[in-house]
Amino acid sequence: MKTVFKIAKKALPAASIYFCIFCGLMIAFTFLAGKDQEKNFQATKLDILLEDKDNSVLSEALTEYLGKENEVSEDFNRELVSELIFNGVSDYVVYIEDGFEEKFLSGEQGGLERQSIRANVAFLDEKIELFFRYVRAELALGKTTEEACKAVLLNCEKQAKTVVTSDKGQSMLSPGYYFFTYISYILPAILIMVLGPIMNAYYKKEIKMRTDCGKLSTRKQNIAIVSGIAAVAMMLWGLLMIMGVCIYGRDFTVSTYLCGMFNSFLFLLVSVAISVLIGVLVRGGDALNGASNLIGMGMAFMCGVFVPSEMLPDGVNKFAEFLPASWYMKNVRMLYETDNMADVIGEYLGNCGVIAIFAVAIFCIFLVFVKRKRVV
Amino acid sequence: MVYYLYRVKRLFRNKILFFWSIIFPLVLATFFKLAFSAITEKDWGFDTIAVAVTTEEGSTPDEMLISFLEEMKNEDQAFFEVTETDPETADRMLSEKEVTAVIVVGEETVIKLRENGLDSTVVKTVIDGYLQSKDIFMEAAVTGKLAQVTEAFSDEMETLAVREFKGASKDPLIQYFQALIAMASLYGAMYGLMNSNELNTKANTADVAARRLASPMKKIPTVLADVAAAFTIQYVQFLIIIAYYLLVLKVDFGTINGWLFLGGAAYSLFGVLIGYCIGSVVRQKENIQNALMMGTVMFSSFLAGLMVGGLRITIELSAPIVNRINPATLIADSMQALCIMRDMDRFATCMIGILIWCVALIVVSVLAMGFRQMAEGRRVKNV
Repeated sequence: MKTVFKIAKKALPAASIYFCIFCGLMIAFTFLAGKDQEKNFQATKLDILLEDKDNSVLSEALTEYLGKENEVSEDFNRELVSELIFNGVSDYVVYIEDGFEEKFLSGEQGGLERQSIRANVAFLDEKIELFFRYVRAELALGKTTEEACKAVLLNCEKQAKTVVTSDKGQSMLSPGYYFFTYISYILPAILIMVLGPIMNAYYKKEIKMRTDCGKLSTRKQNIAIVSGIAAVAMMLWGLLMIMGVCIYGRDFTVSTYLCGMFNSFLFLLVSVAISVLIGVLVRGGDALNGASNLIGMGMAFMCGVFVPSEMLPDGVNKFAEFLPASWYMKNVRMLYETDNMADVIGEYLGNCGVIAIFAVAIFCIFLVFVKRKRVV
Repeated sequence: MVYYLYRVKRLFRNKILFFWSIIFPLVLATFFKLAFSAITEKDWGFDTIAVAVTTEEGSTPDEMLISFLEEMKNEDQAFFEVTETDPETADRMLSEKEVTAVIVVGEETVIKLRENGLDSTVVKTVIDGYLQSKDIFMEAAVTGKLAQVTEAFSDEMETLAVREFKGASKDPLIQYFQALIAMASLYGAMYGLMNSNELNTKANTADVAARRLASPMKKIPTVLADVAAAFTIQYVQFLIIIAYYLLVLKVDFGTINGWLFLGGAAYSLFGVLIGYCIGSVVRQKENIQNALMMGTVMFSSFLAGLMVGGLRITIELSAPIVNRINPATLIADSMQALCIMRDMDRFATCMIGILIWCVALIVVSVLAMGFRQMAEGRRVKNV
C-alpha cells in the first residue's frame, strides 16, 4: 500500500493540472451562474448596433422604440461590424441612411437596412415593420411626425400581462449543478493519471516477477493494491465532496447533496474501473496522459457535460446511452429539475443501477486483461 | 537530402509527438463537430413556435387574434403553430412542453409562459404588437378615421431592407475550428524542440546529440535539414487536418483557395521555430522545456478562442495589441480574414505579423545557439 501511495504521489503534478482546471471552472461558474430562474417574465434582450445618419425625429423614435426591450448601441467600430456579427457579439445591425425620414413620408422605399446572420431574429423585422405601420396609422389620424412618433412610443407601453409558470425547483444554472456535472469529467481524467501509473508499475513484467518471488502471497498482494487504489480514489472523491460543501453549501438542499453524492460515488467506481483497465492496457506516462484526455473529454462532450444534451444531435445522444457518464448526467439533471426527489426516486435508482452495472462490466473486462497478462 | 529523409523518419516515429500534433487535434475537431453541429441550428435557426390559445369562461373567443397569429410568416415558414383549446388542456400542454406559451383571451389578455427565453420573447412581442394595433384601431373608430387607419395599416410597403452579411460562412462556431488549427500548428513546436534538444549535449537526449555532433556534417546544414524535416511533417499534418475538416467533418470553412495553403506553410514554420527558440533559450531539463512549450501553446490558443468562443473579438475590442502579437490569434485571424471575411488586407497584416515573429524567433535561436557554442568552446579550452 505504501508503494501505491509512492507511485500516486509521482503522478500528482500532472493530475493537479486537471484539479486546477476543475477548480477554475467551479469558480467561474460561481460568478456566471447562481441566480435562480426568474418567476417574472424577462425578455431576451438582443444586442443591436444602430448607425443613424439621418438623425431625424423618425429615426430617433425608432432608436428609442428598439431600445425599450433591447440593448442598442450607437457607439461601435464600423470596421469591426462583420466581425461583431460573425462572433455573435452583436445580433442585429440597423443602418439608417441620411434622408430616410423624407423618403418614408413621401411613401418611397429605402434608407433603412438591417444585417444579421441569425434566422430567429425575424420577429424583430416584424416589430420594426409594425412600428412604421403604427406611425403611418397615426399620421393618417392627422398627427404630425413628431406627434405620431410620440403616440406610437406611448402606445408601446401597453403590454399584455405575462405569467411564467416554470415548475423548476432549483435552477439548472445553479453552481451546484455545474459542480456535479464537471465531476464526471474530472474523476476519470484524474484517476487515469494517478491510478494508471500504479497499474503500469504493478503489472510490469519484471516487477511482477520480482514481487511474486517474495514471501507475500498473491492474495495479500491483491488486497494491498486494491486497498491502495480504494484509498487514493476515496481521498480524491472525499476532497471533491468537501470542496462542494465548502463552496456551494448554500446551493444544496440535503436531498440534492446526498443524492448527488451517492450518484458521484457510483461514478467514482466506474472511473476507478476505467482507470485500472487503461492502466493495464496503456504503458507510459505520456500515453496515459493522452488516454486520460481522450476518455475524459470524449465522454464529457458526448454525454452532455460540456454542451447540454438537448443541443447535441440525436445520433450522439443515442450513442451516449452506451457510456456511463450519460446515465450519471441523467441523474444530475433530475436532481436540479425536480421539486420533490421522492417523485422520481425510482427512475433515479434505476439510473444508479445502470451506472453500477457499467462499473462491474468494466471491472470484469479489466480482470480478463489481467488474466491474460499473468506472467507467473 | 539523405540526412533530411532520416530526420523525417526519426521525427515521424515518435508516437507521443504524433499523438499530440495530429491525433489529438483530429479527435478534438470530431468532438467539436459532434457537440456544436446542432447548436447554431437550435440556437440561431428559425423554428415555428407552438402556442395554445384559450378563452376565459364568459368571454368570447378572439378569432382575429388566431388568424393574426396564423398569418404571420417568415419567408414561407409560419411563425406560430396555433392550437385552440380549453384552459385545462392548454395548461397541460404548457407543462408538458408541447407549447411554448398559452394565450388566455379574456377581459385582459394574459400570456402564460413556461420559462424565459427567445421564443417566449417572440410570443410576448407579437401579442403586445397585436394589442397595441387593436388600441390604435379603437382610437380611430372613436375619431371616425377608421378607413384611413385601415388603409395605412394594410399598406404592404416594406420599409426595412435586408443587407446581406458579406462573410463566406454564417457559422460562428467555425472560430473554434480555426483556433484548433492554430493550436495544431503551434504544436509543431514539439518537433522544433525535439530537433533542438537532439543537438544539445545537456538535454535528456544527450547521447543522440553527441552522436549527431560528432558526425562530419557541418552544423548549419544539420540545423537546416532538421528544420526542413520538422516543417515537412507539420505541413503534412496541417493538410491532413484541413482535409479532415472539409471531407470528413464537412465543416463550412468558408472560401478555400491557394492562399490558405501558403498560409499553412507559414503557420507550420512558425510552430517549428517556436520549439527551436524554446529549446535554444531555455537550457533546463526537457520536462521543464515541454511544460513551458505546452503552456505557451495552450495559453496562446486560449486567447485565440479555443476554449471560450468570442474571446478573440472581446480582446480585439478591449486590448487589440494582444491580438496583433499572440501567435495563435494571428493564425486564427488570418484564416478568418481569408476564408470567411475575404479581407486580403487583414490577411496580409496577419501574415506579416507571423513573418516578423518567424524572423525574431530565428534571430533569438541563432544567438542563443551561438552563445551556447561559445560557452562550450570556452569550457573545452579551460579543460
